[in-house]
Amino acid sequence: MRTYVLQDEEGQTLDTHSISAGLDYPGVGPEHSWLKDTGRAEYRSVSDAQAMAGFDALCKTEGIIPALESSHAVAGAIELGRELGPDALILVNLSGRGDKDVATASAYFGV
Amino acid sequence: MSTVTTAFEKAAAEDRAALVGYLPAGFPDKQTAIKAVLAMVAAGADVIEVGLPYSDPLMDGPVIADAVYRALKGGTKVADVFDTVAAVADAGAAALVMTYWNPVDHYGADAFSRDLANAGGAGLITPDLTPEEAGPWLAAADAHHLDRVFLVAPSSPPARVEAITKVCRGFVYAVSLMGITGERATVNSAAAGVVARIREHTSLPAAVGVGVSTGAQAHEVASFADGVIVGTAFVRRMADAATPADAIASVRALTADLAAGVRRS
Repeated sequence: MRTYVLQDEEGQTLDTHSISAGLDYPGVGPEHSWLKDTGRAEYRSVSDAQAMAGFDALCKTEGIIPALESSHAVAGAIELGRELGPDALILVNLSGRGDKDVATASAYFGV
Repeated sequence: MSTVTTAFEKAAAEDRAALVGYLPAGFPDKQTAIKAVLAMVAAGADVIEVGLPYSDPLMDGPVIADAVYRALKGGTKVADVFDTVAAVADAGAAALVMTYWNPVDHYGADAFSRDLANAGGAGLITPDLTPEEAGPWLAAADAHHLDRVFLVAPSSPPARVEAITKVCRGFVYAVSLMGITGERATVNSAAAGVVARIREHTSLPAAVGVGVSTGAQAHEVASFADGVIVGTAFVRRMADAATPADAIASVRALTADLAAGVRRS
């Protein structure tokens, strides 16, 4: 079983950063690797700033506080929506709730 | 026949366990590490485990984890590991590389094996590789005539011991306890049982590692095992020494103590 890992040219795991503690890890689950390799899923990267914009948008428009991990999905959906246009129907898997993350968000937004 | 097999046979003929000593390459720097492993050879170590410093040393306790972190910060590369292996081989001792799997996988199992064999290395100890995932390594080891040392844990059931020992060559690494590397006050009572379970499945030598650090403990382990593996105690002496010369002297003294300990009579 193999998976994707952030590593240097000698196979040493790289240090990582993410504003979301759950994503601050250099690897992904092997199921994601399999879904990517078989072409059944497409993966995109999202920056801290994009994720926090997604967090902000969902809080303000829907009154739902997403987990910082899930905020990445919201950011990805916003990006995808811009690409597909207003008629697109996009389903977002909001995998976690963000009440655990309000301290991080508060520090990030300075509120 | 590999240099590791020869070393274990020689030890057995002398009614003692083989002494296997571990040090990571590049700690505290490349040349001092090489001098230290050569001092181990000169003072009576039969097999040297050259550690390949890795960023995620999941089997290691704080002493070794800190040492390999410092080796990596110092810029240690795979090529430095091969150079260290070559120094041991040139001194006439058996050298195994103890490595987590990802650096080998990234390098390519066959290319790594080729370069290790060219350096005079005898094989690999692979703590985080399971037999089921070891296909490329098993093939590369066959192609380049290298030994394959896998680990058996106190929790390994008989079918697991069978699967692990079947792919081993050189010796089998018997982990004495369910834990990480580091010195312990006493040898865990499970160690003899692990060795006994290994012997039910293979005629390969069984060497006990994790938590063995003194001549007295080596003597106790030698009463039931074919080899005694010592790592953290060497690394701690290297880490605690004020100068590289002190580090070498301290490693030499510990090796002599352990080499006396592994004698059964």
